[in-house]
Amino acid sequence: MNATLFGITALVYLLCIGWLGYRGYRRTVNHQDYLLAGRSVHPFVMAMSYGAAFISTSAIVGFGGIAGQFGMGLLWLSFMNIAVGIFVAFVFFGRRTRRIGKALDAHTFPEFIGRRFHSPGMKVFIALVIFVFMPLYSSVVLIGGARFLQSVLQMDYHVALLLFAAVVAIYVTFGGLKGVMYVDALMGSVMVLGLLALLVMSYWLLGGVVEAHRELTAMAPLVAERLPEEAAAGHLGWTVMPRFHSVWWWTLVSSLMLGVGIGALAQPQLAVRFMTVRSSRELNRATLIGAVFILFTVGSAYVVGALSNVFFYHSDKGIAEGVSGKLAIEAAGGNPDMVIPLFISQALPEVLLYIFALTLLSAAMSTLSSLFHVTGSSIGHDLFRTLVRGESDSISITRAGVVFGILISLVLGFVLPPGIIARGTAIFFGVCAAAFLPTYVAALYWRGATAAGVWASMGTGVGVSLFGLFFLHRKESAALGLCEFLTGKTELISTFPWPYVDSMIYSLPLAVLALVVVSRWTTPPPAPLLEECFPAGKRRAASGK
Amino acid sequence: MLGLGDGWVAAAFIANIAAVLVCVVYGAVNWNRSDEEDDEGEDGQA
Repeated sequence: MNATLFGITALVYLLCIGWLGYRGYRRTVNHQDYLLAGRSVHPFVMAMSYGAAFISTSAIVGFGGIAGQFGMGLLWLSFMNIAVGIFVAFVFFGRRTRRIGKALDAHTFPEFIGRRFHSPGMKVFIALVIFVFMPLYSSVVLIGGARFLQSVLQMDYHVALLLFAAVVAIYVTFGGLKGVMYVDALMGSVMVLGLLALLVMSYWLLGGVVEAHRELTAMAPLVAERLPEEAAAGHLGWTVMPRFHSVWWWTLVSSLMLGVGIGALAQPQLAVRFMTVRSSRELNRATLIGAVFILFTVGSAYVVGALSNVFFYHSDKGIAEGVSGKLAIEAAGGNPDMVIPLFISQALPEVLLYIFALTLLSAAMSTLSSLFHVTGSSIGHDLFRTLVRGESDSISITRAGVVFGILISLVLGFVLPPGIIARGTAIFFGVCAAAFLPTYVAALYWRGATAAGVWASMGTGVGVSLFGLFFLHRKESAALGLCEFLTGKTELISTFPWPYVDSMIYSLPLAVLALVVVSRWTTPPPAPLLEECFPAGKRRAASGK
Repeated sequence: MLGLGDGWVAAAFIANIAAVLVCVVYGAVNWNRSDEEDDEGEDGQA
């Protein structure tokens, strides 16, 4: 790829982003505009923004590369992303979040939960959880974007890190959620175009859908022959599921399908988007658009990642020396993150390389901007205004919070060791799901849930998640090192399958149990509050006690 | 099926398309539909 040409393309793209950010800035006059985009976002913008915030570079490049290594079993994750992350989220969570959020005049996820359970302390606690854990995830995305700039533009990594953070910081800080969502809509459109083109080109290169799949199926014997480690982990071929109850089976089912698939429901940066639309009609329309977005982005990435094996192994046209005749993971030098970029650079015509480079840049920037905005609003709106400045306004305080959140992520990007940074996503998803999901469902559907029950649930969720991450799940416990420091072992229970079972599998049920048990024994919220959240017509559906 | 080596992966492939179709049909059928409480709360905007 020509770095100068890409630099010019990226500059034009940045000018478009700057213009959209400026539009957001001009249309932001109060804190409702800054935090919720004025509650009047177009359904296309809402759906694309939700999707672009949901799908980061790691979902495309990281999981796409894992599909190249382990195959199409990962399509169950994209199914979960569509069925749970879009349909269940929009239809069962979105409508009520929007209605109750407006009734309670909530502007952020912590404020939504805090007001629903009549507990300012709960708002502060959730904001603190976001403040502590979200910068870890932000720094993962930030580093991914900086590494990409470093490789494409051949620039110094630290300069790339600063440049990437500065560009996103400018439009998030000044444009608020309006700026973020306008830019997300542009980036989401680029992502769909780039990944759809990649899918179509891949099938075309490999002789069509069924022929490409057949070729990949026929390569299954190569797993045992060429990839002994993967075969030992349960890999049986790229178009079959891993061996039941194997290491890879547990990783696919517990960490990816359930951990990532269900965990998406409880992410504050996604939940807040439901409150940005005018009515449930916009959410109905966004359901359609969001599902198509997910299929064409992550669905394409997982299929293409697996099919890249056929391309590398069989094709001898235009393949760089030393790559042809290899499996995808071999061609990528054992690094799954390199599978998709290598395939693109070898298989696609040059014009598509630029589109795809912008696609990856968009995926990183759109996720990062959402994370920065939510972290900043938690610091400025939920923490600072609650603890220090009372109910005083506001946009400037929230902007200061956004800048502070960005600085924390930037510092983490510079100082934390790679082992911990790389596990940031898992830590964030695990803690969010166990801490927030039972509470969020109860806030929307259960009149009988009490503040004490929610405190018990969140405490259990955070505590058990962290215990699992620090002491049980090998990938995180080995990287974090606390278990080894205290016990001399990388995890407390080495009996299979426990080192490979995602912490959400046990932390989420325990958090639900704590919520139900404590709520049954404590005083329900005041009736006027419940009446505000669940109007008479909806009372029967929400009744649980 | 579809050249895939295993029923579970073929099912995942089809389930992706089916899930999108469900969302598309849901969105199309409810394109102009708004909940009663939305209409009440929107001062006629919804």
